[in-house]
Amino acid sequence: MNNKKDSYAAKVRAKSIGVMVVLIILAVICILPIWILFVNASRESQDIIDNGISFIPGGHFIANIKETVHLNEIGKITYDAFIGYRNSFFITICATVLTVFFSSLTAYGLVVYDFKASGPAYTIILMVMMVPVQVTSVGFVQFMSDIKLTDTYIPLIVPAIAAPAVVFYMRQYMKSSFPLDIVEAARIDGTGEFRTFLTIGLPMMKPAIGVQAIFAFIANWNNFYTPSMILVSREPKQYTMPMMVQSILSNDKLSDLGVRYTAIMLSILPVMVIYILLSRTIVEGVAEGGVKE
Amino acid sequence: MKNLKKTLALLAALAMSATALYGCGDEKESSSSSTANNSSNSDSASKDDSKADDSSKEDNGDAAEGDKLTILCWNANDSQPMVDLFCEKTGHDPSEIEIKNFDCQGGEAAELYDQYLSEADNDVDIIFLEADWALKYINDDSATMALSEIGIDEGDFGDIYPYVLEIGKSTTDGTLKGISWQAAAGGFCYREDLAKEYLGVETPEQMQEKVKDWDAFLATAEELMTASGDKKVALSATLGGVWQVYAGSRDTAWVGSDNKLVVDDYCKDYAEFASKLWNNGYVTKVAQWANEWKPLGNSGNVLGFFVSTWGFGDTILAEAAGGEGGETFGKWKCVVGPQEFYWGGTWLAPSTRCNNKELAKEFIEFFTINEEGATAYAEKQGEYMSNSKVMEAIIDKGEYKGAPVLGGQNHFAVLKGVAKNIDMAGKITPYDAKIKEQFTNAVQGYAEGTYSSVDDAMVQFQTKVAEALPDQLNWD
Amino acid sequence: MKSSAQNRIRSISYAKYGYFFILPFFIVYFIFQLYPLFNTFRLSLYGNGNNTGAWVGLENFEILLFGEGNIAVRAQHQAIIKAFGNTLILWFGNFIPQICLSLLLAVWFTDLNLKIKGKTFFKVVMYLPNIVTAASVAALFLMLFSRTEYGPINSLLMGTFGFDEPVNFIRDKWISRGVVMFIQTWMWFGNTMIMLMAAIMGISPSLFEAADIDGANSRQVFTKVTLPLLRPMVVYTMITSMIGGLQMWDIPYLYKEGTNFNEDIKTIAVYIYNHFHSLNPNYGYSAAASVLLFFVTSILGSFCFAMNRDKDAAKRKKQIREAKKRMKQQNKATFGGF
Repeated sequence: MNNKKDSYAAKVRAKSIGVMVVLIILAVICILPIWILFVNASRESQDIIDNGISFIPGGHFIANIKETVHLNEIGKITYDAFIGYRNSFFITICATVLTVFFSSLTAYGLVVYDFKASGPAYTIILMVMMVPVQVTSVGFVQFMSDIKLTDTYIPLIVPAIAAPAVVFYMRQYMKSSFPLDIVEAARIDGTGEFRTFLTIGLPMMKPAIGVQAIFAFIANWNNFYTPSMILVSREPKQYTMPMMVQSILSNDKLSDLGVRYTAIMLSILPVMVIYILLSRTIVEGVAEGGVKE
Repeated sequence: MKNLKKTLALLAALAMSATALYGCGDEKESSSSSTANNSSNSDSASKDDSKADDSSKEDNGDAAEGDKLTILCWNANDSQPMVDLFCEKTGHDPSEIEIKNFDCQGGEAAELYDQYLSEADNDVDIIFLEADWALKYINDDSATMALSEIGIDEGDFGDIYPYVLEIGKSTTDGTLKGISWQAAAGGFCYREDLAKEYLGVETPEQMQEKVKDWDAFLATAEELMTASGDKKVALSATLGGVWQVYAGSRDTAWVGSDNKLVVDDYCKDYAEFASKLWNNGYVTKVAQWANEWKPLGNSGNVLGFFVSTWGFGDTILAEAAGGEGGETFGKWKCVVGPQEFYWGGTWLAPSTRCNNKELAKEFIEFFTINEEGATAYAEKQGEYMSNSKVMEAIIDKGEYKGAPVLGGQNHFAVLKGVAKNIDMAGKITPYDAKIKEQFTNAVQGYAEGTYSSVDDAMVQFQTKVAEALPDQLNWD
Repeated sequence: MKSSAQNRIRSISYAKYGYFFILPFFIVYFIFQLYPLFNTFRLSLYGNGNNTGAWVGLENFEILLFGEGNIAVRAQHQAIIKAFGNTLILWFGNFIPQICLSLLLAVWFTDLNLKIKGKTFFKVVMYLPNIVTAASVAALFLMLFSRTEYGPINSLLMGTFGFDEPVNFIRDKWISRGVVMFIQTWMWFGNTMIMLMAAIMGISPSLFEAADIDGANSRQVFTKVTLPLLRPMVVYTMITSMIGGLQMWDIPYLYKEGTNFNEDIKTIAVYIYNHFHSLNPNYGYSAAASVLLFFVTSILGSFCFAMNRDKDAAKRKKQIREAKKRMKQQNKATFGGF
């Protein structure tokens, strides 16, 4: 009996070690390119040119950041990290909140209520998901131009309400782990439908919301194409972060590689910080929040 | 539940702070603009002005729009210094000019321009155009208008290099619609020390003799390869660079008068030539503008670069030499090379929406015909201007000592004959950028062995052009 | 008392709330996305190049699908066939390693028996590649995989591993495809892993405990408990990945030297993009290719659904319907009794 237990424990230990090795290798592969990005952001341009790749940070981190942040003062390059952060945060947070809230609402509507249009509506949402984005985005921009919404943030924020892939995810999630009886229980308690959604539906979907919020945040933060097509008049104070980065990267006279890497690094830094913070609260919180029968 | 509250609170706090931050910033900006504009950015200043003008526009009708000279460009590397100098010398106020900077690569500018131009209310007076796609706008009478309409006739450009005018002309009716302040003539720059070591070359004249045409170029490449032994020194850095030059030696346009693609011996000759350079190591396999490109200068594995007038500074050559104080800085020399060529350049064209003709005329003239202006700009920016008279005066005066990377050689003197001899008459089509892109790709494939014969490569070239331009050209 | 309340609630129709809840989505969708979609369909029936704006009916589709005619027509047909092939190859090459890896990791991370230190750290790290914009990723990998002896990976291969020639990571047919598959997997496996993990965590731990007590080994737990319960999420992953894969654009578009496209990694979305965003655009072909892509995606998507039809849901619906019927009869009987 004891032997059996020991051998079982040994097996588990062996497996744990094997798993750890695989995880460490994967982690190294994942982190290495990003590490190189950060290292290059801390090196002098000449150093990068002469010595290529390095794994040891150089001493120009602060100097590079200082130079990058103040690039706009030279007058030729539209780059102001603070304006970029401000605009990008504003657009991204609004769009993310709209996406997760309305997607949860739509998915909840589809799952909880048994109504005639629910089947067709779901099919339409799935169809929408299958439309290639490359070409519709142009039509979208043209249409925004027709209704005079270019140069505003509205086309960058409001369409976030209709995010078919997120609705699909939320619906699948609810299908797999949402007890419908709880809604009925709430009705018996006399809670209004919308209130039920807010107080019971949303909290139950928390893991899914957390995951999709992170995805939506990153997708919106990194979106370069739509803002650059919508903000036609190029007011520097409307620039988003990726547009600022682009203005550095596309400038062939600014060949300082250190500054180029710093620009990219500065653009992903806030997302990384937020992700690391939120991943603790949301993804880790799933275990306790998700207990249900 | 506790966790959820925390998360929601965090999200709410983030949202609120973002909104607050945003609103706050906005407020700050509007208040600062209503008092005095302390930001150095002319764009934000002009935006506020235009807002203020909006009200007056209502009364005055369309005329009020003409108060500002709006320039469309894809980066401010040229436009900003131009506007600065123009205002300094002519006494115009910087607020009279607005730069619309689309912050992208030249090749991507057209799409953003179209987007901007698709809104009829958007003001524009002068459009910056890159040689490769200038014709898209120059041939389009709804986008640009003849320079004569703003009061500059072709005859006024007597001192401008002919090829600069040629590229600015519409290929449909020949009207002159665009003009460049630059002449982007190019030459071959090489390392003196390596040339001496391997080829026994002492002077630029001797070097020119070594690369005076393509046959000599090939022979020299072979000689260099043998002489350098294990180092395997390449004569030129990239195949892309060689192509910039070789493209200039084409006698005919890419599209014939029957609107069909011309695939002739020239194409096959180049494919063979390129394959020879590539496979014998006479050029490196590095691509132009790749990160490894400029470091080749100091690597000791490459003798030279093809460089255009704008490339002697940080853009190419100075960087390649390691910057000021770099290993080979000052040890480079420039010669004409096997073939006269131009590489790049920016053209200015008045928009049909130009409602500020006086100022647009003054601006364009200042950098082209106005000798004082062109001279000032050349001296300030170290640019090779399109006005031959201005350039000759600068060279004769002898005050300009040439790019520092050349260690005392005046490249302007070397290149002045080149700019004059470039002949582009009748060789330009609106599809050149697309055709050249497919051509170089097919040639590269041939050199790499993807296609077994030149003919296969040419079939591929033709097929890809047919795919890209199915209805624009005639096909059998 | 209670049963009467229940009955009252049952008799209220809640269907209208369903409409209210999905209304915002559809309003926004109709305003912001339907018009562009309609526009794409319209454009696919119009001409290309100099004939933009001329009605050509189904000619674009005919050319793309059959390509009988002059070189321009054949070239178009060849290009789209090649692009579809490339797309499928690249998608398979990144989807299969990606889903296997993510599933394995998700199971490991949620396996309570395994002693893994720093779980959060690993999860965070594995998701990191997805944070970086595709443009930066492409630039970074182009630098790493430079094809010459000066490139970091090649100098490593030639220096440490004794390669004679630098490997052509950028333009060699299968090597370049391999690199694109690797980049896609690298970027997306963390994303898939997190989605699956959230789903596994949604499964009640008591089920795992029960399986454990019954002496199930980890493979049995995976196949008998995790996988069946995970099915909706695996379907989701498959479908979104399939759509994403068929529309794969950014890395294949950006992974090139200068303007020289590598024909072997040109996907259908790159074809669409290149014909639309060009100095000499061909809107007709571009839009027609989008419509074709749309149909292919829909067919494959429906196929996925049919394969993984939510049997439980169907069963439950049937039960509900039967229960209702029964109740009606019961009611009738009750009322009839009075």
